[in-house]
Amino acid sequence: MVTTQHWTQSLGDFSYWVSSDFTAQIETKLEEKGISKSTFAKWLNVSPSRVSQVLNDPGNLTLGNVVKYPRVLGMKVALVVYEDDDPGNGQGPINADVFTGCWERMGRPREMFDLENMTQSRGCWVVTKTVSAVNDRSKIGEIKVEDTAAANTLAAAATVGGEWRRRA
Amino acid sequence: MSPFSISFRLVPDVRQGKGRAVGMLEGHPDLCAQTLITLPAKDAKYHRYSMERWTSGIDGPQERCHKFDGTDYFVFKNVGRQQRFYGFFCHPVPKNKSFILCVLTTYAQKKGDRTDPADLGRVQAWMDAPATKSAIKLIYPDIEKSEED
Repeated sequence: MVTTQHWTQSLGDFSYWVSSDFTAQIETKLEEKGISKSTFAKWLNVSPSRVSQVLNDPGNLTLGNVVKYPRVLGMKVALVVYEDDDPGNGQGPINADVFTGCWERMGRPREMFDLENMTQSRGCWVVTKTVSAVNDRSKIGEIKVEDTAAANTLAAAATVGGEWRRRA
Repeated sequence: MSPFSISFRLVPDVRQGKGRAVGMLEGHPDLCAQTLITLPAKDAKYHRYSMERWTSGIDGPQERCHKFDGTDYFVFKNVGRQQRFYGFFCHPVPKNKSFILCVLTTYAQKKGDRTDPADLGRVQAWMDAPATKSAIKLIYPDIEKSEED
């Protein structure tokens, strides 16, 4: 179910959401690595109460801290600007974890050339037009392929008018 | 206990997901709905974000929400403000068994990390109440069919 107007309409609320999305990632990483907040505070050279304050009320994050917090955990941060065909923000923001998940599934490319050079080693294929090899032509959709040989066989079988687009 | 009427609705102003949703029971003083919808603005935003994070398919961080191992109990929390909203999971859509509805039941204000078993007992009581199922059924009419399969 999608609400018609998301609660992050104001810039302040949208900023709060984005900041919360950031701190939730930091909290998750602390939990995964078993790092206490007091240890994290020591690494940041701030008091534990300051860390709790930021994590519990992320509204006033600075860009400096957005870079610093992941850095002391051996991580990096990217600011992603995106278009999601929702200019009025009716559906709200997309979680950063979704972007991270896509990047990891694509094999963690470091630059655009890595994306362009990706081989058809494995992954799944998406039929974007009618494929004659498919018995039911109305069933245009996603076919998951486990191995390269099967993927190539399927690609070869899609003879006329079929376009295959690789998805990692 | 005097007779009472229970209703159920999805938590307002929270973006529900394709695979998960959060709702709340209303109509009894033991239930948390009134506390949830009258939270101060900042606290409301904190929980709204946590709920949307969960409904979009992301688990945790535990600091914000978690399931209790081996049970269907769940909690959304704001540790800094000592707030706990307890509930339980159910699967009300027969055609999509992996769909999870988190039904919020009760509230507790507490300092420590340790969960009071009495709080989970209250969740269980609402989970077992016939009125609960009837209330959810108005929004998810096939819930019984889903549980029978």
